[in-house]
Amino acid sequence: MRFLRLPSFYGWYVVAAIFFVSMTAIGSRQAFGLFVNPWSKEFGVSVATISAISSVGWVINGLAQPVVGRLTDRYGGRVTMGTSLLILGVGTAILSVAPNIWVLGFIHAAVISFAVGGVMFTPSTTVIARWFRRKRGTAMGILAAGGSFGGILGVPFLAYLLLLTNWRLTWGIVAAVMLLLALPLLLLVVRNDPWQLGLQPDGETAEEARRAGPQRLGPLTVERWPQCFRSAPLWLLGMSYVVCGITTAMVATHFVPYAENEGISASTAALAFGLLSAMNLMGVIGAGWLSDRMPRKNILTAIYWTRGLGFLLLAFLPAGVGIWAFAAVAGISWLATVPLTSALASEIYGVKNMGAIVGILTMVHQFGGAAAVFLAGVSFDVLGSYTPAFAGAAATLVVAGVTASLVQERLTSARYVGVALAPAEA
Amino acid sequence: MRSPPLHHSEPVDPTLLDWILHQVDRLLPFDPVVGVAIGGVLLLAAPAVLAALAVRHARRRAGRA
Repeated sequence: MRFLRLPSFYGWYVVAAIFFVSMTAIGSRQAFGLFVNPWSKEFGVSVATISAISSVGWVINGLAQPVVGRLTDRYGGRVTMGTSLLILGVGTAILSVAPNIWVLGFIHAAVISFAVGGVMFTPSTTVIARWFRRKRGTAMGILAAGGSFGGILGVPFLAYLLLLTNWRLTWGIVAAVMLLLALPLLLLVVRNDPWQLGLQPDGETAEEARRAGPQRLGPLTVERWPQCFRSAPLWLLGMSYVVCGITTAMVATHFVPYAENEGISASTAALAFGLLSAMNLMGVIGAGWLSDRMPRKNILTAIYWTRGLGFLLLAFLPAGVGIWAFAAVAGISWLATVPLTSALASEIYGVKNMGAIVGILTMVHQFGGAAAVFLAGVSFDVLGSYTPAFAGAAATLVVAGVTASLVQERLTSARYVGVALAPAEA
Repeated sequence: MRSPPLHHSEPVDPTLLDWILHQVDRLLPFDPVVGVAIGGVLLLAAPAVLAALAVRHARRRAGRA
């Protein structure tokens, strides 16, 4: 009955609670596509108008990341995530009674898109970095999988709800779940760090934690977060993460049009994307677990190169085979960059300024994605084929892998380098 | 409306949504009412069970201290 044994370390309950919060917040956001037709009919606007709302929301979500990161560093992840979830829930409730497309657009693009940034990976990985040191990759991998679960389980649930009711009641129920279930759970279970409960990271004893060094600091910890820009790891992680954004957004946006252009049905393309999502779940948890057992930059490099191989297969194999090969190979890498990049940043710079740093990295990820969606479309319009865009993506992924491999983890990570106690930490 | 799925919370592609719903219908051939009921029970039970376990864990630890 070993599998029924409950975790003895409270940090896993924190992971589970944030998993649920991420699942509800991200799942409802991913279901946006369900509401396009109902909104288009009720408000008499085109699908393009609603798409524009989604695009603006994407940019605002990117801009929100450094802000919520900074707030997390200053006030803690629990306050930041709780406040964001409250705004998200209230915004969702207002959305359900929106009288016109302007109110709906403003609430979704500005309020909800910003607030969801405060529930996503920037604050949540910052909290997890404080709770875990040795098992940080595994914990962050499980956390990141929460977003995928939100899409896989939440979207069908909302679709059923929409079939039975209408879009207003569906959003009202989503708001109730956020405000009456997710928010109380977050406030009841999540604490900013283990010290608040008299615990140590990973459930270590005080002596083990003392030997491991100060949790808040990394070898490159700086007093003020902008000083991080003077060090190489931030640039290396940022350059590779922007490629992550470029390649995921490009495929997500152009995968189905590519398949249709190659004479493959949209449903087959969607089926291949379903395989990609399933591989993603295994990849994100597996990569996090592996990275706790070997240098994270090696796993990160392997992930970028694996995705690059996937793009090469997509670009040069016959489309009927290529989309399946791509889904199987690149799917492993899809979300796996998130826990590894966040964990590396936390171990190099410490958790003191981690929110701001992960926020900056996530912002460039989102902006890279937005640019890639546009450029891949232009490339197709001009060249009449997606092959150059996909081959280009493979090339950027090779560079991203090289860039990640250049992070001198053994010289700059707290996993390998002892960190001297600062007076304030002593 | 085709924007990125499953990565940093962007919306799922509508074509993928159609496929997911079709597959769910095929694999679990039940009425939407049953689907909502199952999802609703899971949604209510998951945080309740988790909160109860976390509180129990915290109390036991406090009791040992």
